[in-house]
Amino acid sequence: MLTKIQTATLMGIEGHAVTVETDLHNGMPGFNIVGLADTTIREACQRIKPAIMNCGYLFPRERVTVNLVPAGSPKEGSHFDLPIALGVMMLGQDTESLKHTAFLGEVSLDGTIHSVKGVLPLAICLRRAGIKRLVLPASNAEEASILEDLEILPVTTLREAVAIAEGEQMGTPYLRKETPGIPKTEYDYSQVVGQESVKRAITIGAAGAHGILMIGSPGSGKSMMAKRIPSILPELTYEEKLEITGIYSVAGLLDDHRPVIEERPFRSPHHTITKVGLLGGGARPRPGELSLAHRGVLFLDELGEFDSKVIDSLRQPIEDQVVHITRQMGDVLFPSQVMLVVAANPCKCGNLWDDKKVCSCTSQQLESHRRKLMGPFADRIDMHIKVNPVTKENLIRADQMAAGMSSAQMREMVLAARERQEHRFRGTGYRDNGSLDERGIKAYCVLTGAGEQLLREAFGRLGLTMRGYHKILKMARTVADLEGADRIAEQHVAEALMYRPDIWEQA
Amino acid sequence: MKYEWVTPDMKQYPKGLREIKNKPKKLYYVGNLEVLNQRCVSLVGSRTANGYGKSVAEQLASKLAMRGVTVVSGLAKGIDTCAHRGALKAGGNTAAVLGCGLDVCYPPENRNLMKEIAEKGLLITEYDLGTKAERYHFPNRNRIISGLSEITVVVQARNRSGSLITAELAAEQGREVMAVPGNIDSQHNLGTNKLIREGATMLLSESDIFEALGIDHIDEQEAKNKLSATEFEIFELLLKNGEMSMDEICMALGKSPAYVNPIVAVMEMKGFTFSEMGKIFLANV
Repeated sequence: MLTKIQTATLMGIEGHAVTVETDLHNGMPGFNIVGLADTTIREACQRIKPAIMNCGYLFPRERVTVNLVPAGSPKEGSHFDLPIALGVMMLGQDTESLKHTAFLGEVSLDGTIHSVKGVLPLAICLRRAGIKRLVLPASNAEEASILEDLEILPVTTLREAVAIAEGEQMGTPYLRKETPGIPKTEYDYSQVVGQESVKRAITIGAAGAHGILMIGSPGSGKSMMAKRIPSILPELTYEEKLEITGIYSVAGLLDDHRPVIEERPFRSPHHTITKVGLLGGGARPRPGELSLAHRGVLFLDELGEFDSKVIDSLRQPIEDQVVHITRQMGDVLFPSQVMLVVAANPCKCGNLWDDKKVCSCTSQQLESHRRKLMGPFADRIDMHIKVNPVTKENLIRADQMAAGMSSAQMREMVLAARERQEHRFRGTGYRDNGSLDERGIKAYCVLTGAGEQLLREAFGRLGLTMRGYHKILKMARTVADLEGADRIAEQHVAEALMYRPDIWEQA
Repeated sequence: MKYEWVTPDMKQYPKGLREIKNKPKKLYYVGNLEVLNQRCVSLVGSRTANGYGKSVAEQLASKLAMRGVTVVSGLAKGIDTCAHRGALKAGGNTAAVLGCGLDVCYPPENRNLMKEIAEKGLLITEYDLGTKAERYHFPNRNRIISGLSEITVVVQARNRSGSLITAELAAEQGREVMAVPGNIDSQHNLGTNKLIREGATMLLSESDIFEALGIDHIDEQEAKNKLSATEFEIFELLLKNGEMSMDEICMALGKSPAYVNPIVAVMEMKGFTFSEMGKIFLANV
């Protein structure tokens, strides 16, 4: 007597299809699970047995062996409860008809089916494996229903699941709730008054996916402006939504209010965050803040307060756009393609640039802060921009003048520039100007004569490093894209020069 | 050769020379006499300077010239040559005072430099056409160099260099004398180091010169010459308001940051402004 039930397991944010084989044979009553199951799965037998009996079914008083195929790869998660329970209950029946049906769900002792994490990536891999119908906890239905060609059958009790498995009942396919259009964020750049030059810089950053470091006194509006960056980025495509929702699903951050991620993520971890919190990790690797910001914005407020080791650990993943976590069972990859936005005070107390207040930092504090603001991490951020608080006089003046840029206007510029980049980089492996490496810069950052002249002069006069030189070229490329120019002209280089890092005098 | 001359009774006669005793009765010149109406600083030193002296001379000259100061020297080998070159490289003004007639080139290897100065700067001498360079001409010529300049900087001099005579003359004329210090194990620097011991101002960076000249903001006239219309508008804004943020400049001009950003960047490149603490400042010394 043998049954086969389809389900899946997670590795990082990747799902892998798994078949649960259950066999019954004579011997001392017992229940064994083999096939590299983790503790949660091995505990399943303790949950399943009472659940089955509490639902009024019999539990076989013989020897039950459960094998998870492929047996060589590790499996984890409480969602194996339901397939294992069904494997036991379907013993003696033909499960050939369930070849294209998969089951996910955690079973409690009274037979209720509870929601589980990571449903979307599991569903995606099952769809790829040829599954047509997916039986899952009702509270996960909305999340999985984003996959249009998969029949979603929500269940709340073990009985319902058995009814579907036995073919007594077909189940009612879940229909996706109508989302009322795109939920508009209340954040808009038109709410930011008197900071047009910073908004211009942010437009450039968003257009070319350049990292931004904002340095400015407290209260100058750094976080306010950072929060609005997603409002000028292109809307998520269907594929991107799937990908991001998958990450959030694995992290267990989806709920009834937000079953699917519809907007570009904006993550702003607190400065006390640990390396694992930021990059992801743990015995069962979970995505960190960096991956939760995938295809969105990772905002680090108060760079000076972060642990230097934590900050330095970000360097590689941001450059590679993927986080590697090595575990005994193999490498786990979390995607981490983010637009990095960092804010910092000019000094620890924040008053260094203020005319009226007095900076109370000691020279050691100034020095250590300076080191963070121009250390190897900051050096990898393309754009360094200075933010000044808006004075009362300027606020009034700005109010009287023509309205500043709104998110819609900025987004329009960003989209046009991104389109140019997409066109240029098609089939090259590059995606945007921010991701260009040395070779790409050479190939795509073509200067006019005057532009080259200016850049050469700047190289000598402003003491640019080689890295600085490349950053200027990448930014100039984006400025030219914003203007719709094929070659980088003098004024594009000149504007890019405004965003170079300061050479800070030693305090 | 097309040359002109000027005498003390003429209005164009260099102001600095009017004040000195034994002033030249007649000066022949080729080029633009106007450069002497700018602030003038002379850079002098050995003909047999070493690398240190030459590079200091060239750098000082560039920095002075960039800020509109006319670099005066004597077209001799070594320090003089480097001083003229530095000024020309920076696109600034330079004047060469010769110890011979305008149609004589001494030293001959400076023929090209002489030609360039004639075109872009000023060649001036008190000697008639055809006068050969004689040893005794040079101390005489040196009084003109120091007389034309508010400050005489001895960049590098050996123990008995002729440039020490220039320094002495400058001091007699009541002009400031500065000397660049050098290491003591080299004969090249003995003269300048001694000058410092005797009371010349020790020059540690070009800002010492600017400080002595009292230059702490750029000449408006000069800015007007070197800057485009919009750049000059920004320059004047900064002059009036002191430091300004980018947004304040944009607001005052009524232009977008995309328009103003590159302009300010170019002004910075030209050395007229610099940015610090998130604001734009007019470049001081």
